[in-house]
Amino acid sequence: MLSRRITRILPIIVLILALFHLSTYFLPTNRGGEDEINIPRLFVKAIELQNSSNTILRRIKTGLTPNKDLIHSICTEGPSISEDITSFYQTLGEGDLAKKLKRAALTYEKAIRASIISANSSSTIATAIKGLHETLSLADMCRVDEALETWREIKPVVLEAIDKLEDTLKVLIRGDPKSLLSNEHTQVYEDNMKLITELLSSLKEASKTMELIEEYSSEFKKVCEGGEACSSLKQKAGGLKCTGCLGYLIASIKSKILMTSQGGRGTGGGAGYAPPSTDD
Amino acid sequence: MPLHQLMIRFENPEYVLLLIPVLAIYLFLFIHAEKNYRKLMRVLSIVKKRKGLRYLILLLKIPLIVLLTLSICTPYVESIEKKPIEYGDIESLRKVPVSIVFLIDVSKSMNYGNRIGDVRTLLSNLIPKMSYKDHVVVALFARDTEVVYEGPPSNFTVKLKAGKRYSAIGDALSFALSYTRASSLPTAVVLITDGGWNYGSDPLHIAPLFKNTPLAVVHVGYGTSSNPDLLREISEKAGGKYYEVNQITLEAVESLTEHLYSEIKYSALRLRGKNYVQCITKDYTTPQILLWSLICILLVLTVMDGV
Repeated sequence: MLSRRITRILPIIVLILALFHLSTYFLPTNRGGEDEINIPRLFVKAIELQNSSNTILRRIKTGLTPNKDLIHSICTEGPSISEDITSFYQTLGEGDLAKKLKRAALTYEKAIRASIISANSSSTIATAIKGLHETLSLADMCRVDEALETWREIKPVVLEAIDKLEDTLKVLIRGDPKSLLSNEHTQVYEDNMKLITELLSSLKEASKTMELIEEYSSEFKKVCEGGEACSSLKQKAGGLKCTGCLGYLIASIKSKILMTSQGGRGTGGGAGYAPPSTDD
Repeated sequence: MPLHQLMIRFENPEYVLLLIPVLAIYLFLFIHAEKNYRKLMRVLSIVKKRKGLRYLILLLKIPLIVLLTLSICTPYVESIEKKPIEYGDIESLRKVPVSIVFLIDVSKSMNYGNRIGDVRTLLSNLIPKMSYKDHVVVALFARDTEVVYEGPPSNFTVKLKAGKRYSAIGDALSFALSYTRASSLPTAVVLITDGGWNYGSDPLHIAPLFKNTPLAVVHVGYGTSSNPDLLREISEKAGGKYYEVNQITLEAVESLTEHLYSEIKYSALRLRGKNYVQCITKDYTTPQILLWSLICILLVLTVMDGV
């Protein structure tokens, strides 16, 4: 008797449940919530792409070619993320929370925009760094004419790279890294600023060094042959800052010019070298 | 081009021992299921007619059991990719160990103009840049060469003090050369001196022997008893690199040490043919899919006899 009742009631329960399920399927859902859920994802994606930009810049700094896959992902995903963040920014109203979110959204948008600029110009920056490394090395080895020839070839690329890096830095300065929603995000943003600043100062100082050698080429050749540099060359060389990834080469050239006055270059080596009595 | 190497391995190879009891149980069941089998023979006419097919089905059960056991052993395809290290890629260079021999001049002349102080600044910046995998050998030389430290870079705590008599650069280079030849790791030598050679063998005679050992010659200081020309010549003859360390170049100590470390490490690895990093990837999915596809086919075939 009991099993018969169950066999009658069970299909009815199943039917009711199925109808309930179907009715809930057609109920309107909160679509606005979906957009809000996507915002943190967009912010994370923006920082992820900025982190990729940092990887590219670190490779450039060490004289390596930038990673093509990373450049491609920044250039393809970046613009749409930037647009989405901008449209989210425009929907925000008044109030403390909205203000905070506005500041954060603005900074995330700057992060993505700066990453796009640096990714687009990464090959130019890499060529400039490589070229400057080559020309400075030649100058350091006292192959002045070859160094100047290389410098004249790469000068337009170097100037373009400086322009692009300045543009990137201008964008980044407008953002406020402290307003980002996580300390890790702030770190990535600040690292990006640091890398751009470092590359920029490297390119500027290296250019200054080469311009100085170009201006005083005959004087520099004299220094290479063991002579003393003129006072104006020394004065200008003294103003060179040995910073960034090309710092050692700049410093080496600077010391070549400045150390001549202190009797540091070549006390006569090989067979004619006389050991000092003080060292015995 | 990265080089690939593929290998099949097992995460839990000890489970293969399960085959012994499982095969024993199978044999036991097979013997005891003879009655049921005869009954099925009457129903399945295809098996009845073809005796060879029956034996085939019986034999297929053994690979089925073997494959199931292999699946429990969690097989995976290990792919070892050898990626060549690019020149200047410090991050990749840090993954491979090398041995670096520092030859530091501690003769009297190293006290002039605080040359030994410049060496301290250089080393305090260079040593932390090295990988924990690297091996450091510090040998101080004046008339004789003495090893004062040997071990990982992190434990390096040698107090440098100059003031000894003579400067036997050639002997120090000979010592480093014999050390590198005995070392199993790729080895590079960093000679740090003011170049005031006044004792022992001629360094210019030893330098050409460094063709297969990277040598970085670091000239410290300027003025009295400093001989950069000799050091440049040593560097040229050895096919090595020449660096200047003074108050000006120390302004860019970060860039200098990065350049020096990356240069000597890359050269040491390249000369031993070890300038690559190994990337190991494990694929668990493909072997499991293959195994279970075979298991499914065998399962369908083997149920035909009903046991």
